[in-house]
Amino acid sequence: MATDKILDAFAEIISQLKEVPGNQIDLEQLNNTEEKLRDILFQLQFELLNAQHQKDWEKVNKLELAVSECQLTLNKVRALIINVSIIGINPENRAQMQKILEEIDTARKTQVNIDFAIRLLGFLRRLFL
Amino acid sequence: MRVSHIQKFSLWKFCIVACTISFTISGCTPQKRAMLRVTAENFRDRAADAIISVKKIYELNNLPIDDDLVIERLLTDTNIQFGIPTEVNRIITGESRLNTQSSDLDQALDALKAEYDMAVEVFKKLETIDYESKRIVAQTAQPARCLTVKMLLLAKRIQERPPRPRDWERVIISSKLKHLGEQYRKLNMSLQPEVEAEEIKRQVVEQIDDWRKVNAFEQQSLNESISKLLVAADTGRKLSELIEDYPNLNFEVIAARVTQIVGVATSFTGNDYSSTLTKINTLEKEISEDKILKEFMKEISLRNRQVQPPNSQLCQ
Repeated sequence: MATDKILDAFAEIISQLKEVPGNQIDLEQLNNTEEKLRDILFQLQFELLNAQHQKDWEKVNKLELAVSECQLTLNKVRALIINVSIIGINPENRAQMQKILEEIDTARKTQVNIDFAIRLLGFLRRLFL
Repeated sequence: MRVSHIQKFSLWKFCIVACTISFTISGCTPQKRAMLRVTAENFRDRAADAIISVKKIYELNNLPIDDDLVIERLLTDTNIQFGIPTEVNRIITGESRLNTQSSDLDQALDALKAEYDMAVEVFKKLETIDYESKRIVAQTAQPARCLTVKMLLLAKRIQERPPRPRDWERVIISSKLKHLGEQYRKLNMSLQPEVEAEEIKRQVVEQIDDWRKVNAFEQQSLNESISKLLVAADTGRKLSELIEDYPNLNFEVIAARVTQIVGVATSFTGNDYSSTLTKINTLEKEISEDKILKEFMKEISLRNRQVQPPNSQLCQ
């Protein structure tokens, strides 16, 4: 299932950010995040196209939202990179990341759903605010 | 005899005073400052041009709208809320509220462009004042250098980590290839498997060809953007040099240099990938040979890598 791969990519982004020492994210991590989000966007658009062909409108609606969310997040990360600003992760975010990692595992075992991906993208964006 | 001696002495004194006055004036005449302003404007125009092209290659495009699908969706999707215009608009145009706003990235790039506008403002104001203008010209060297290095770093970033502005086209090709694969694997159920197999292969070849074209077009637009950034960086480098030499040059020399700077743009185009790479390296080398620019480059690159927030007032 393709959505599984999307969740894997999320898991990787978040665990990388979580491992950052000194509560700070550096450019290299931002670069990796950018690359992964770009791949996620590709996969979301690919899934969207398939859903359109299958005329599965419910899925189309969700995927359209996911694509927009992903674009917003990617733009935010790129803006940070361009600004060369360095961002901090506070302990609260760190705890939330741990929770998300666990949720990803659960989601992978049970039913994979795109709502979850949308929520994750929202969280990532708040992180880079 | 005595009288002529006094006259000679006065003449010498007059010459010295006149020379001093003329040196002081020619050190920072309005004409010379106007030349600096022209160069700064040129630098700004090139930076603005480069930033527009950077925005373009970082644009995140949506999949194109298929009218037949829109019609079908409007007729069969029972969840559409026809009472909400934004929802109907989203389905018809593909535009959501989220992607009509100016993106964070666009805002960051606009802020960058504003720095170049500000530099021009400084030179414009400088043109109108005489008092202490020489000292102020010297001060402008720092922001000019900083802006130069920023253009080069942006070029390097695009070259090292190229965005993929045409990914949406690859999504479509990928999807077509997936369907062709599915058709191919079902061929044993067909009446004329060989004929159909040939047709599917022909279509795959077509898709491969399209994919390669996407790669080539994308590379071309990245190269153009990098070239524009390099032209801007090169103009900035020359502006810095000009500011450095400013007190010692007369108007004619400055004017000649400015003419050369303003005319340089045509020598850079984005047609050839290897030459773009060479140009980045050449410019980087030139910058590292300039003692002060080198320091700026080091400090900005270091700030890129380090985790602490910038504490230097370098580019403020």
